Amino acid sequence: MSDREKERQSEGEIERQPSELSLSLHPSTSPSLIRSISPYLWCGLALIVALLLSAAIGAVSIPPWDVARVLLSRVFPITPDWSDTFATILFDIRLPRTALIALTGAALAGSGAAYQGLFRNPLADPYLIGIASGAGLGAIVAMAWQWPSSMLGYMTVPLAAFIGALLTAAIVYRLARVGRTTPITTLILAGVAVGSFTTALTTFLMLRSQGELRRAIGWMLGGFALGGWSPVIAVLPFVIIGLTILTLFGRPLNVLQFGDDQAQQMGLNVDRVKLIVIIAASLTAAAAVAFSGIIGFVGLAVPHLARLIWGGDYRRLVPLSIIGGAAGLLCADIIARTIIAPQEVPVGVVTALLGAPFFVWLLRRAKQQTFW
Amino acid sequence: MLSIQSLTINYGPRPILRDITFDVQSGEVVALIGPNGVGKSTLIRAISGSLPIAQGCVLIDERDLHRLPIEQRARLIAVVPQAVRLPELFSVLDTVLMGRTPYLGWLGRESATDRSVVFEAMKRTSTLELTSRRIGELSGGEQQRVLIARALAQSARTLLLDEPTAHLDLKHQASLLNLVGSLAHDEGYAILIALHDLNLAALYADRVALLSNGHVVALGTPDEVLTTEQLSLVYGLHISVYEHPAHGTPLVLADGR
Repeated sequence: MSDREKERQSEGEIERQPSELSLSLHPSTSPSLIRSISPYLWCGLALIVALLLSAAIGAVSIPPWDVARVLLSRVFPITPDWSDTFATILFDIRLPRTALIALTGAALAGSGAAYQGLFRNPLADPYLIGIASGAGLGAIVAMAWQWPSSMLGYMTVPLAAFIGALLTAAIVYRLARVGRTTPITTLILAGVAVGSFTTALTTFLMLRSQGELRRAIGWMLGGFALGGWSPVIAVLPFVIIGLTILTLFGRPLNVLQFGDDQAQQMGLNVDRVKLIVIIAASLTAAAAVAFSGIIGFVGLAVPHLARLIWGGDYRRLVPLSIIGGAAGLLCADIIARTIIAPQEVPVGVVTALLGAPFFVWLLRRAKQQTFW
Repeated sequence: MLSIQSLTINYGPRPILRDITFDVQSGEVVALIGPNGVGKSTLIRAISGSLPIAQGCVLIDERDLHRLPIEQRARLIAVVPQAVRLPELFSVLDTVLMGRTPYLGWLGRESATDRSVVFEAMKRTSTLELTSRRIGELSGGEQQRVLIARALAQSARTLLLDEPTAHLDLKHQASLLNLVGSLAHDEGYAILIALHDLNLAALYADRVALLSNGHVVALGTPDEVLTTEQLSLVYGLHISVYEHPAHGTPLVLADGR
């Protein structure tokens, strides 16, 4: 071992040049800080506007400014100059629904981003790869057994949906795998096959339990048929746990983009990471499906828009998809409620009408290049 | 020191590599050569732990590599894969930083030490000027250098390279193999490199391992291994070996007709 080599290995040389290092690795600290925060600002702003609009729009329209003031009056001493009906409508009807939609959108887009990273496939989406249908089957089994009335009853629905989602994810992954890759075509085909099968089972079960048929159909299409705060509270822990794990796994998902072999050679415990991510993503997707029904394309479109604008780094992509997903689904729901008011369109119909053309456009793009 | 001992690897039920035994010392470059499909890449993947091993073991400094946890393994041995189908949108810096994976906590925050190791690795591979470029924008030679930087960032003293010159032109082949040679000779890395170009192996390797029919059929200096008889037998056509006019190393020409 030469002297020069020993010197290179010693920590001393490294510590002598900190300024040189930080300079060359961070050429411009302040602009890059602004650049790394601004996506969150934009997404956060969009989410706040969507939340206020969602709470404001309805049969009785409450000005968004009043919505903000009613909400703030709970924290700050503001003298109420609005009618009590406003507050009642807001807290008992509008806000639970708004919260459920926001959670659902966040869960769908967050899990969509995670599935895309996990399968290394830009078109993975809880809906397209059949996981939503699997979760739906689980939820329907729980609902057919006993329509939720108690809090415990409410909790069993997302739990059953989680089991359904996890089983479906495992089956689709097994079917779609070709050697060491999961190609787009086999993934979508396996998703379609498994999804149709579970949807058929779901339909059969719905026809069996006749009394709940109407409610269940409304639920299936993403009509947010269950009102009040109970579904929100039942879904909240699942979504928070799932999304927290997914957000923390941004870096392993990045390493995974180089393929299983390279990720493992870089020291990533690939099997463990995949297992944790698939469980967390399925937990999140299942929670979304449990009370909001099967809503397609949110998990596909939102992570994609985020990726097109802010790049493919999963450390940012996952949290941005979560915020953007909440904002996006709130907007879709506003359209669903207003487009043929007073009648309401299921939000799943709106996301499909907007999302399917986007999916086709992505499919054409994917043929030309890997945009990954 | 990398020591491969009686390694047998199965593909399905039948073995494709049988009883492979050889060492790679610190400070030397060993080239793995042999016809297409003989299992050069398979051997590299098996050593790195990507493929299950039927029999035998791989030791690094007397420690059984495959009994170690994945993170510890990656601190002892790093692999430079072929630069094909890389995720295009990552920046060069982010890619090289991924080499620090075995040293990071579960939150994945890089420390000042991690950054300085990465800086050294990028300086060594002349990739500093590419820092903020995206992988997809780089040429094949640049991508290959980034992958070497990523491997160096793992701070492992043993490197495995899988045909790193496959898609490079002559100039980039030479600069890459000069870098590989200097890592071994000047800094004491133990390097195993799969090459299909026999003349590059003759020029840059200290020793050569010739694979055929799942065995190492010859192991030694380029002069000892790259002979007319041995190569003609293994490659199945008549091959002439001359003396390189400038370096005195073997110069291999296939007599295709």
